[in-house]
Amino acid sequence: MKLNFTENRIAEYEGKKIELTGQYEYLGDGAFHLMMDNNYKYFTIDDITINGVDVTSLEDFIKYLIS
Amino acid sequence: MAASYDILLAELTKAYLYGRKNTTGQQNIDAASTAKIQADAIWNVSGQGGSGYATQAWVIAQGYITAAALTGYATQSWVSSNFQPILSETLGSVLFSGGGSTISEDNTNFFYDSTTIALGLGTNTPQRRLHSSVTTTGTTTAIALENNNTTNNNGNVLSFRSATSGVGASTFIEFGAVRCTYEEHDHATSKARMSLFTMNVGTLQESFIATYDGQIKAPYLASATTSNVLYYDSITGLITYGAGGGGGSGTVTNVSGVAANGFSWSIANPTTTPAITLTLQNATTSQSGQLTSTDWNTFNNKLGTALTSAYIFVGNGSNVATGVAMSGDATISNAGAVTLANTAVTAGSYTNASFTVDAKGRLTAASSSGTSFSDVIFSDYTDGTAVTASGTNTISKSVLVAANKITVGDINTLWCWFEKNGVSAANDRIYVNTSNSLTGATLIATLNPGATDKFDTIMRRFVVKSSTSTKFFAVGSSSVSDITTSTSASASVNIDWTQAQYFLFACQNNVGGDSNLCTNANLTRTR
Repeated sequence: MKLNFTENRIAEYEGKKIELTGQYEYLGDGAFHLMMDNNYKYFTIDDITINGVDVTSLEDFIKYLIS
Repeated sequence: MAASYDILLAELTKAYLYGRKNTTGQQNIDAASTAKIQADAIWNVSGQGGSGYATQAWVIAQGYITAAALTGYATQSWVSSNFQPILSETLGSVLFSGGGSTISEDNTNFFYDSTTIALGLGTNTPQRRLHSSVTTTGTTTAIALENNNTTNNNGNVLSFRSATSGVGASTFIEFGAVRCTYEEHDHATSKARMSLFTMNVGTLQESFIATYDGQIKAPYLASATTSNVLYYDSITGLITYGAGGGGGSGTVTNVSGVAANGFSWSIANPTTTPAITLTLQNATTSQSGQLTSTDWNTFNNKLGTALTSAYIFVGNGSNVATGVAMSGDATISNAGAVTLANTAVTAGSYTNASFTVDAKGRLTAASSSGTSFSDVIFSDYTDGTAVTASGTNTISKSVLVAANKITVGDINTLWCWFEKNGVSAANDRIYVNTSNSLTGATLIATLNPGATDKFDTIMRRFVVKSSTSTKFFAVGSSSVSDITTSTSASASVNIDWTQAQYFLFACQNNVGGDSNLCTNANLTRTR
């Protein structure tokens, strides 16, 4: 199951919509703690898609997060 | 002469013997025991005796007419047909010519019983109209029928006759017959058949045939058609049925068998004189067959179905299944329902209970001790997997908590130890997830041991406020203990405790070669 961002800061995971509410923490090695609905959740870059498209660039994804 | 006289016949060479008017006036020929009427003594009795008197002649019993007396006259027309010699033959004898001028009898072997109207041949006690009797040792021919015509298929018939009644009644009806047909008269190849005829609805039919070659045919055994014939071949021993003859059409020409249900066949001479052997193997788990004596005895010794109501079979002291009633801590009904005996415990729910258990494991006493209690959710002292990779957040230990093990109102305390060997700082974290995977896992605690740290402990308390809110110490805080102050607000995490949840203990080394692992973890709840 992948975390799919459907619009800016809004993602779907396991059939639920989750809002990216705060900061993120990059753990290295492509892994993140994403503050979503006030909880940190662990994902790697390989677990993330944007509108169903796999994220291939860590740098681009970080830019997406902070945009 | 008008009167009767005694005449000494010996003195006469010829005499005219006049007849008398009646027997009352009869005169005896005296001394007749020695008297004889000579050969020519009676002369022209019929023609010369006078009208009305010579139609009969009497010779007294003691006298007799020698055969010679009639010689030369018996064929004469003037020997009256009414001439009736008085003889002395045995009763019942049938007279026959003895040759020459003699009349003979053989009372023993040629006899007629006028009372029963029976003729005996070889017997003087005939039992039937015609009774032929022999006393020869072995078989002999008592009666012979002969037809000397040598045309093939001629023969003789012994016919049985009677009269019929009803509409069309007639007499001398042949209702049965035995016919022997000489099929071939040539001496070298002669042959015959014997037929038995019986009456069938007005038709005398050939119902049974014995042929020259030993076959027996019953053409009308099944119905009155020649296509339904029963053949018996005494040579081959075969009985066939159907159209045809001579054991040809309809004869079984081959015999074979099909093995089935444990039977196997062995057939010798299948086309000539079949000898069939049936073999039935013993039954096995997978093969049908015969029941062996051992098996039969085993089955025969099996329990029957009779059993007293609500009883069960129990092996007794003699190792024999015996029907007894279940007793003690449980009873059983005849419907199979088991009822446990009551203990002193009152049925109901107990909170933070105090229990007393007897040696049988039964609760013998139970009481609630209050609303608060403490419960260990898990306590895992085994070492987790050592994480040696550099920079990768990796699970060292995971523990599964079953669904509904943690409920609303529980205040929980989680403890865990991490041990580290290496030269660099690291990150130790605790997550909760519905799968045994970090992906999507919710972070509930984190601690960053320093480069020289060898051991670190995390203590994290959380309280399940509602089905959607579990309160944690500020998520993301690096505090090793909740026993502190924090400027961060507590975290409300939505964890569905009605599902099974994994507690994941992960490590992340900053440099390769360092080793980090979770060595133990335990979770308790109180309320």
